Amino acid sequence: MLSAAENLPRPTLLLCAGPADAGTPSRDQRVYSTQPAEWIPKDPRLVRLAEQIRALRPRGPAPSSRCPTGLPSLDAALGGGFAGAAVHELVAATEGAAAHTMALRAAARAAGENRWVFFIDAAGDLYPPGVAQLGVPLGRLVIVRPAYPADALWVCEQTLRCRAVAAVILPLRTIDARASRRLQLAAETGGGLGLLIRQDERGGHTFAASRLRLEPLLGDADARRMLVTVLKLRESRPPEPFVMELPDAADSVPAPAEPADRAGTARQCASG
Amino acid sequence: MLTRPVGASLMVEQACPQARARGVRPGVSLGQAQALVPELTALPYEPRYDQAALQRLADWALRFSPLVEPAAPDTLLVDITGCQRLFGNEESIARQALAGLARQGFAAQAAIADTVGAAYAVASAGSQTIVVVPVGQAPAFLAPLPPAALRIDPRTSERLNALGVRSIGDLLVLPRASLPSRFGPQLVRRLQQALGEVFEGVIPYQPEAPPAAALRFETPVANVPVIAATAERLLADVFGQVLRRGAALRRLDCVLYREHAPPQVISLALARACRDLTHVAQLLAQRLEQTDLGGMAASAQPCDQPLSVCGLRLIARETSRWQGSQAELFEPRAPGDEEALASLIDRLAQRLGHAAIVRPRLVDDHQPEMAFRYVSVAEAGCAAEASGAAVANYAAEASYVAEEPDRHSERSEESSGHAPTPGFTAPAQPDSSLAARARNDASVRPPQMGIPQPVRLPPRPVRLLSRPAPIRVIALVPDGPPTWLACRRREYLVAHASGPERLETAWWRGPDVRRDYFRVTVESGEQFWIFRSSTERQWYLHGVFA
Repeated sequence: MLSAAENLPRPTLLLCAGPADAGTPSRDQRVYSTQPAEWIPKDPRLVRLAEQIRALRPRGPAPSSRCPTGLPSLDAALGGGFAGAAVHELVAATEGAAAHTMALRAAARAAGENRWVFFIDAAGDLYPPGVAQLGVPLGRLVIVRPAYPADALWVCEQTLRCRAVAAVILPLRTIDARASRRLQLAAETGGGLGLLIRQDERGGHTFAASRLRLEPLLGDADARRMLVTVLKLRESRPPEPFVMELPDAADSVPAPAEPADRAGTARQCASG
Repeated sequence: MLTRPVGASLMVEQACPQARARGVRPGVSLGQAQALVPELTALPYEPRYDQAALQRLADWALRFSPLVEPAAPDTLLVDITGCQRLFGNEESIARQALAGLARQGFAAQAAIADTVGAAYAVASAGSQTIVVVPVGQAPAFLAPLPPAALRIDPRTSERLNALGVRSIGDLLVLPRASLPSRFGPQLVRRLQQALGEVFEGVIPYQPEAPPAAALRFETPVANVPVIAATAERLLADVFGQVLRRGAALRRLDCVLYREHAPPQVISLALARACRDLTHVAQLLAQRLEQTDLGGMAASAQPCDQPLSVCGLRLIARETSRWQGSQAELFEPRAPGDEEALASLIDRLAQRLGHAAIVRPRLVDDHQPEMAFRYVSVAEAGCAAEASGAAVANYAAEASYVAEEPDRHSERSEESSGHAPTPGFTAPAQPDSSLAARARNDASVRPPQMGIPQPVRLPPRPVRLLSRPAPIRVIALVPDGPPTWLACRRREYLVAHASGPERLETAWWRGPDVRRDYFRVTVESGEQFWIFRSSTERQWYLHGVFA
C-alpha cells in the first residue's frame, strides 16, 4: 500500500557505488558499513570517501527544534514542547478526553505564519467552528477526508513528507510498529509534527517520540481538567503524571475591552 | 484610434467611425488628428493583435467549412463548395456568418463567388453586406468595380487611375498582352484569378491541435506494467511538445483503447500548472495502477473476457502559459513550499479524489451543522488567499460580547454550582454564561450577507456528530438542564451544565428548528454538547468536546 519503500535510507548501497577503483571486494565494503570499528581504511582516498558517506547518512532530528504547545505544565513535562520532525501519540482514554483540543492547539502553534496544518478526518466529524475557536487559522487548515480508513495512514505519510506542512493530525484506533516507523521517517524527511490521536494504547512498541495518555478529570464548572501521563519520551525519562487544566476554548480569543478597540478589529478584518 | 510610428512622427493607422466623421483619415499625423479631434485616445497599433483575433475568427469559421484561410489583415476566406446544402443555400451561409460575427462584435461584408479574387473584389468594394455572385456571372459583377478591388498594390491602382482606367470593365477592354509590361505581372495574375482563368485555392488553416502522442500495440496488452511504461514514454513525448510551446501542463487525458469495450479516459487534473515530468509520471502511474484493467480484474474475479488494451493516446487537454516561480527577496520561507504542497495535493487527489481534500469556510448561520462548509482544494486553490485569511480572522472577529439584553423571556434555569445569575443582569463571565444568544432578528437574516455578525459564541465542540443522536435524560426541572443522561449505551451523571443557548434557524429552510443547547460536564470529566429540540421535545447529543 505504501509506495515509498525505496526511499528508506540505505547507506550500504551508497558505499558499494563509491570506491570502484580501490580494488576491494564489495562484500568487505558492506561489512565495513555495518561494523565500522573492525576495518580501518589505509588509503587516504578511502578515508575521504568514508567521511563523505558519513556526511550523507541521515542524522537524527535536530534536538533543538521544539514545538511548544502554549500550555506551561505540558511544555515543562515534555522539555519545552513536542519534539519537531517527529511523531507523537496522544492516547485518549475516553472519547471526551481533550486529545483533539491539545493536538489542534499544538498544531496551531507549529503552523506559524506560512505553513500548513493537515487534519485527516476519516470519521468525518471535525467541526471547523470549534477548531477556529481553538486559534487554528482556518486559512491554513486542509482537511483530508479519506473514504476508507485504510487510506488514512497513506495520506498521513505522504503529508508528513511534505515540507510545507507544519503538523498532521490523524485520529485512529491503533497503530503497529511498522506503520509507526514509516510515519516517523516521513516526519524526519518533511520536518513536520505528526500527532496521532489513539483510542487504544495497546499494540506494542511504536517509534513515536513521545506518547501521552490523557484522562479527563472533573474540574470546577466548565473547566477542562485532565490527568496527563507521559508513557514515553525519547530523550529523557518520562516525568510523573500530572494534572493540568486546558484553557477554555473562548479564552484563547483575545477579548476586546473597549468599543474603540472593537472598531479596530473590524478594520483589521476588513483590510485583511 | 490606433497610431503607427512612421519616421519620427506617429501616423494614424485606424480611426473609429466617430473620428472619421470629423475628418481623421488613416495616414494623417497624430498632431493633425489631435487638432481635428482634441479628445481622441491614441493607442499604438499592434498588428499581432489583429492577427490573433483573425486566428480566433478562423477557428470559429471552421463551423461553416473545413477549409478556412485567414488572409491578413482583415479577410477570412472560406471554401464553401458543397457546404451550402447543410445550411439551406449560399445566402443563408453568408447570413449566418454575418450574424455570428455581429454577435462577436465585428462588422463584416460577405460575398460568395466562383473565385477567391471575385469574392474578395465584390466584398471589399460592394455596397451591400451580402452579395452572391451566381455561377459564371463574375465578369458582369466585377466590371463596375474599381481596379483596386483586385488586391493589387496601391501604386498600380494609382497609375491605372491616372491613366483613366476607373473600373475593371475598362481594364478588361485593354489588350491583355500589353498589361504586364506596363503594370507588372501582378495585375494580370490577379485579373486572371478573379475571372477564374488561373486557379487560386484556399490554403486551409490548421487549427492548433493540443499536444498529443499515441501508440497502437501490435497485439492487445493486458499487462499493467507494460501499459504504464508505454504511457510514460508517450508522456515524455507530450511533455516535450508542451515545453517546446513554452507552456505548462494543467490537465492530461490518457485514453485507453480497449478490446471489446469502449475507450476509457483517465483524466489527470493538476492543482498547479506543472513542468515536472517525473511528478506527472508518478501521478499517471498511480492512476493506471488503480484502473481496473483486464489483468487486475481477471485476478480478482475470473471473468471470461479479460479486457486488454490495444492502444494508448495521451492528450494535453489544458496547458497554461508557464510563469516561472521567482524566489522572493524578503521571504523567510524556503522557496518551493508552494510547489511541494501542490504536488502533495495532486498525489492525494489522484488517489482519494478532489472532493476528499477540502478547506473549511465558516458560514454565518446559527444552525451549528450549517455554520461551515467545505470547499474542495481544487476549487479554493492551495494558496492562503485573502478570503482564507479573512476566515482565519474569524476567531478574533467573533470575539465581541453581545451587550444587547435578551429580547426573549428565556428560561433562566442556571445549573447548580455555577454562580447563577438569574436574568443575566451582570454576568461576571459573559463568555461562559449566555450573553451571546442567537437573536431572533439575527437568525432571520439570510446567511452570507457579509462578515459574520460580531457575536461572541460560547465554546463549540471540536467534533460534531453528522446527525444528532437521540439520548435519554433525567432533569430536575422540566425542560431544564439534565442531571443524568444515557447515550450510546453508556450512562452519565451530569456534574455541571451550562446553558441554555437557544439557536433557532431560518423558517425558509423547511421544518422549524429551535434548540436549546447545553454544554454538560459529566462525572468522569468528559464534556458533551447536547440540545433539547423544542419542536420535538426530545434530547439529542450533538457534539463532543474531544
